[in-house]
Amino acid sequence: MSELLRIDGLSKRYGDGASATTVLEDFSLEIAPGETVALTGASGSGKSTLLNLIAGVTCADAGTLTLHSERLPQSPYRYGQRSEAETAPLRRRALGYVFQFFNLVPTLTVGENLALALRLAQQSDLWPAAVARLEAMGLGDRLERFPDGLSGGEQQRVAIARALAAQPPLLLADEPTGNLDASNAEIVVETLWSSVAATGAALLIATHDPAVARRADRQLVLG
Amino acid sequence: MPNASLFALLLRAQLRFARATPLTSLSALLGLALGIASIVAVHQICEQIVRSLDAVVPVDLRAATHRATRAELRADDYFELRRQWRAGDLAGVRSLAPQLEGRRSYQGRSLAISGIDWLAMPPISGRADAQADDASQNNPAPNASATDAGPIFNGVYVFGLGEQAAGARLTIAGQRLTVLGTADPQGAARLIADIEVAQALLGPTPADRLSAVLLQVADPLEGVRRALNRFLPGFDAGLPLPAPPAIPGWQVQDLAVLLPEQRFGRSVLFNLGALGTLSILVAWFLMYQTALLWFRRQEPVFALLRQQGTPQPLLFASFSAALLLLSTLAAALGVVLGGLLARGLLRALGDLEPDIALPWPPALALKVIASAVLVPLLSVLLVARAVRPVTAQAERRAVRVRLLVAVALTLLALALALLPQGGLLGGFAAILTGCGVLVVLLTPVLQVLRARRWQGLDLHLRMGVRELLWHPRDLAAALAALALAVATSIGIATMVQSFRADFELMLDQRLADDLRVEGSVLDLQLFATAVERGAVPDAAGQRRYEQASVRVEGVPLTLTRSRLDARGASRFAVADALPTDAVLLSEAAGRRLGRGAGDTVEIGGARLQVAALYPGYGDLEGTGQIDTQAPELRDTLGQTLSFELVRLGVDAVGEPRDLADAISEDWPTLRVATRAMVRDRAVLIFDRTFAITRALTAVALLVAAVGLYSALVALGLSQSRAHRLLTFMGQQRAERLRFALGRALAVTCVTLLLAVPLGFFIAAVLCYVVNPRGFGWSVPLTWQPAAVLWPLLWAFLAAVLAGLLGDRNEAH
Repeated sequence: MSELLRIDGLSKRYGDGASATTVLEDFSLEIAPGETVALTGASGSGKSTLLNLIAGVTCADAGTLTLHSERLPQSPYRYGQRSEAETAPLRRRALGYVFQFFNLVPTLTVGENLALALRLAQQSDLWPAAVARLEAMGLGDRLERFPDGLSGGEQQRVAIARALAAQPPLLLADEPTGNLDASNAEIVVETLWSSVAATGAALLIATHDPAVARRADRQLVLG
Repeated sequence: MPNASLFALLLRAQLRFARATPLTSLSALLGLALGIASIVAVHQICEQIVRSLDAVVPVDLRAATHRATRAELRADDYFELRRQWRAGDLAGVRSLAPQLEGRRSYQGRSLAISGIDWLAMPPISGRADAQADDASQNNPAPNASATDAGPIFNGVYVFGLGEQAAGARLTIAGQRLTVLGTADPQGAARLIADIEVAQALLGPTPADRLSAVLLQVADPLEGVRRALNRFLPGFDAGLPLPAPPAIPGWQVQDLAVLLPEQRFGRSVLFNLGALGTLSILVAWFLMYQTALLWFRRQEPVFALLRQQGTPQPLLFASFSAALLLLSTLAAALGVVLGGLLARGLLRALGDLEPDIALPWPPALALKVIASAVLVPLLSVLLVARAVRPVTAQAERRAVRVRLLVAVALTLLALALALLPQGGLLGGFAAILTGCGVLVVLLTPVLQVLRARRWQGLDLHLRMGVRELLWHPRDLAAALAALALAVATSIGIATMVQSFRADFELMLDQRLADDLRVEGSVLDLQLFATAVERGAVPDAAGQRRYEQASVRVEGVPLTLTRSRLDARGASRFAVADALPTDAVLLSEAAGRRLGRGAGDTVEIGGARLQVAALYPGYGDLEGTGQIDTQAPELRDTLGQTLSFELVRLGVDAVGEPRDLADAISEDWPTLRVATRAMVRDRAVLIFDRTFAITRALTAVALLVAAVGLYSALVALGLSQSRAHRLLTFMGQQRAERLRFALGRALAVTCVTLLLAVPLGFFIAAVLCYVVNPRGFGWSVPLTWQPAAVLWPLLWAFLAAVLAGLLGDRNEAH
């Protein structure tokens, strides 16, 4: 199997000396293109830390991450100890990210949020596809609205559209349904799975919800 | 006491927070310290200038408030007036004394002599402020203890007679005199004495002739004046002068009008005080902004503590205590910085000896304590109000109310500026009301700008602009402070530039001669003779300038006599030669005498026609110009008015600089300056005069910039999740810069919309209201792009820098 992301011996601890807490210790993982992987585990088990390490916004104490993508200036792209500023191109072109809350820039309209993602990825030619995806989600008439004019479920679906606008090969999602009621959560999960299937992106999703985890190709329990 | 221990715990948490966020704490500390420093510096500078001004008031006039005159005034008139006063017919008059003025020759110079009945009105050599206090105890009998020299009736105060020690002996016209005090050793020769000594010195004049009667009149606004002066020394100049008592057959004038140097100085002080008050406002805004920043930083923790059942008042109490600790530290630092700033500025002006301690009056201590204690506490209350959720409907209603208030304040500001009865204080109140309009209009302007979509801008710029405009409650205080500081800066700079342009124009007209030669009368006469005989090579001609002091309808006037042919008259922008029966009056003199071009005025017994009025900046006493062929004039005692040669204007055949060097070498006792030198010196003095104003404006801008930094950090904190999202989307330094530029653009846009109109309004009020009311000069307003662009550029750069620093060090 060809690999999209490979993680080797990743370690991360917070604090110094006696008060230091190890969150990840010699962690390894491989994700194939288009694969969906669910990360589960108790609170504090390191799910969000792992996603942040993969996104390159947190530096690892040890270990390497390798991402294979033609979108990047160099492939395979190795990181782990690189700074947040250095890994910015990775997040622009090869990764999408969906949080539990606050996935849209509140001062930009829905359309502008999509445009921002494309502009950062230098993929403005993907605008028609991004709008088409939004329309497929039933949100085509929301382009000119600001986020505060959308419901929580709508905001999360727009967030998925935004995260996939530049068609990154890997989508990271951190408890994307944690703030939604059951029916909205179901719609968002459905949208998420159908969207990654449509774009061919791999999905690494951190979740507490066993039903969501079961939909993934693979489950990983941390902690 | 569980609550007490909880309070201590909360306070400890706040202080740890302050330690954990050193940059925020340091910026807050610095901002507050700068605010308090500007308060201290303005107060100390004003206090010091008041002291200097008080020293300018002649000791014989410090107890008096008004001067009464009439034609052919004699001792009998004075005694009749005194009889009326004793009978209680002169309402409000506390005491009165006769005055005799005249001149006599002494050591080759013309010595001005002023004599007052010291039994009736003793001289005061201490602070002039004392006069009000003394006055209240002086009714009706004069308080002899008011003179610290005691009633030494052969004692005199001397000016311009070289260095004289107190207690030294002088003999003038056979009179042995004791020097009680001295000042200005190189200035005009003047002597102040008891009236009997003055009569003896002036020699054979009609024995019962008098120059005037000095009055000490109760001021109904005395209490208000004293309170205003305590708040800011010199601030009382803004109050209108009390109406002089009406005495049939007498002309009564306020001494404040007759002592123009004092009036000028107090008007400058008032302007400084007004500027200082704006600095205080900016500083207080900053304190509020600091409180808001601290609150925003701890908001999540506060929310958590509230959820856990911590009482809200206890949370705010611990928050207030932490803020008070910070402001107390800032106050200590601000006091030190303010003292250094005041000392530096006064020294730059040459107004302070290195070893003189600056005053620390109780009122200043009170202002510092109020700024360090009351303002932070009030800020906490306002913050508690500002962070409360508000419905959109309530917000719209508030905007409507603000618009109505703004309209009302604008009308009030215009009325205050246009009604002449308001005096200087009316002008300042107009400016302050204009500032109020700016503060009230801020939120509606943000609302209007928020409604725009800013589609033409790049996405990152657009985000920055919208983020700034969408959060008025986080930013209103900082934006108001910045807009006020920028408006003040524009107003002051425009006024100063207009003043400077007019001043330079006047210099270009007035400095007609190639060289200006000054020295003693004897040396000047010898030199003039040498030029006439052709003994000074390269001197093409000369013009004599002679001066005399006269009183016209009780108003003092410095009269200059010179050859006013077509070229001489052109110095005053008059096209033709001045007729011998005509006079040119300075704008100030014309205003005081109520005369304009075409009117006639009696000067020294001759009726002269006013040919024109000329601008006379620096001619504080009011000046007049007559031709050398003008009719003979007489002084108040009926004697021929003696003119003293004060300078010569010389034209050069070749290069004026070479002629100046040659004269300086051959005539070392003369002071020679070329036209360029005189011009440069005059402009330098002009610039120095306004140095304090510029420095204080710069401090206000700096304080406002620190406030903006605090506000943008607070905004960054409240928007940290959006910023985190941008980081996850791969936003880099270049985009962050564009984002910061967007916020700076919005700051500049808001400042432009609010500060520029207010700045022009301030400039117009200063030029057309404050200057004429305070100094007697009108200055045509000239718009200078630099005066507007520099403060705006500063606001833009401060916003960019504050945004970048705030983002980098706090939000991320």
